[in-house]
Amino acid sequence: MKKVDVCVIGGGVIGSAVTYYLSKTNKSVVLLERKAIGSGSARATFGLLTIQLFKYFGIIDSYLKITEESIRMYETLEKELGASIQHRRTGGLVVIKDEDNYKDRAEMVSSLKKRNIDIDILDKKQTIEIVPNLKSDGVLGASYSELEGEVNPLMLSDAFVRGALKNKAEVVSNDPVASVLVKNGKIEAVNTTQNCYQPKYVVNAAGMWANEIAKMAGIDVPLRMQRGQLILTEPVRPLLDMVIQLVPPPTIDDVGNSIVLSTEIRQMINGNLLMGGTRDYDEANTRTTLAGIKSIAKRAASIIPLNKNINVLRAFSGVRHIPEDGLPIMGFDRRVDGWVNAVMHVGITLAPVAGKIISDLIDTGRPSFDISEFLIDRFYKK
Amino acid sequence: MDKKHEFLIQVDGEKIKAVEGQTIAAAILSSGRVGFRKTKTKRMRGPYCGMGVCYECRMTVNGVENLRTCVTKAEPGCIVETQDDTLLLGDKNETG
Repeated sequence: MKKVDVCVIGGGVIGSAVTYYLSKTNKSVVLLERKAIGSGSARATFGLLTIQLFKYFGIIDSYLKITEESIRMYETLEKELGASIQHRRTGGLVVIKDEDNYKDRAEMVSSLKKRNIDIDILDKKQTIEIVPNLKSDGVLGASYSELEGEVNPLMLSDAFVRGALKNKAEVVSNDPVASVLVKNGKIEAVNTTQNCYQPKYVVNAAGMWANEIAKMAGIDVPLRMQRGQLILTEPVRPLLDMVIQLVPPPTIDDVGNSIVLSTEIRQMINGNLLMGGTRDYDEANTRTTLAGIKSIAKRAASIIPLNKNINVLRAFSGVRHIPEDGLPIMGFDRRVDGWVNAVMHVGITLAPVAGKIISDLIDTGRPSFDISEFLIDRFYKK
Repeated sequence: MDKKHEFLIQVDGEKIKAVEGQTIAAAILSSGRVGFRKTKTKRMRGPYCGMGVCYECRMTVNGVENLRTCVTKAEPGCIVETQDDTLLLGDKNETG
């Protein structure tokens, strides 16, 4: 039985970030990863740092604040971690081809501007200036923020882990959590297949398995799964130097869910084009479908001209684990003493700030930002 | 022993010798040239894996961009050009 201050469950972008920031405190921490670091949803995301999400759930100031802070933290993250994450602040462009969408986004932009966010609504001409090879048919304009950028998501979890190891944190991989012993509302033990831990705190950063882990402790995390497929092409001539997104109005999927089938395209450092995505509700698996691949390719090709002979090297997918209201679930879970939630589906953008908030919460008892709207209580209050 | 059928191909305006069955990459390497393309940061690159997976040997062949020369056979008179990745551009061969 190993006594430790904190067990962090889940070695994805959130768990590894939490572990890193905790490793800077005098709390002892062990990161428990079931397979390999970054092997969950972390291996199948787009790597986008974005602040333009407020179209979907209105502007919530505390969410905006942590998003802004997280993006700011990325500016010095590589230096701090001593590891590369291929971070570039390229600016983020969302192309608009629909009148109502343009009005909506213009409203969002003006609300964000009032809150001092560096974002603008562009007309067609200005949009083409930024992306000269944009397919301009039907383009009305775009929303553009200088704050946004990209990272290589495959490197992010690993970079945080490297930082944590330098600070003597313990990181365990290939060892799933098998059971959690809770007695009288207190954590007695966290048992993996190879070891037993006696932690004061448990951070549930298990992403798509967060509910499974919570159930081991007799509680739950209400999440809806939504698979996102991606395709990666062979290296090609330089076509893009930033991420371009195309966000259409909501549509209804095959089973009646309202989804916004956005399209993203970016060019990776070696010239490969990464394109996404799909929103396959309730698919809690990492399969890809021919329909998904074709849909992504077709939509990406409507953004910039793409030679139809470009080979797709691989298709892969990851599972978005979405809390009901889309907001992160962070903070103490009052149902079990010492249990901390750290689950969100906007993982890449929020990883640094989430890591810092959870670490401060455990270290000092108080989070460094207002997370009152992210507590899991909100799903159970009447 | 019969000499294999030799012919000429054009690489960046220069005529070089190729032999029947040879890949373009092999012909270029045989001519003494190792740098096949320039990266975004102006570094030279040449064939690395030699088997079509690393994409470092990619060149434009007969106007078709991005062909892996290590898995493309040299044909008499084919025109091979270096791709300059220091330029950001739009692709001329569009999809529908």
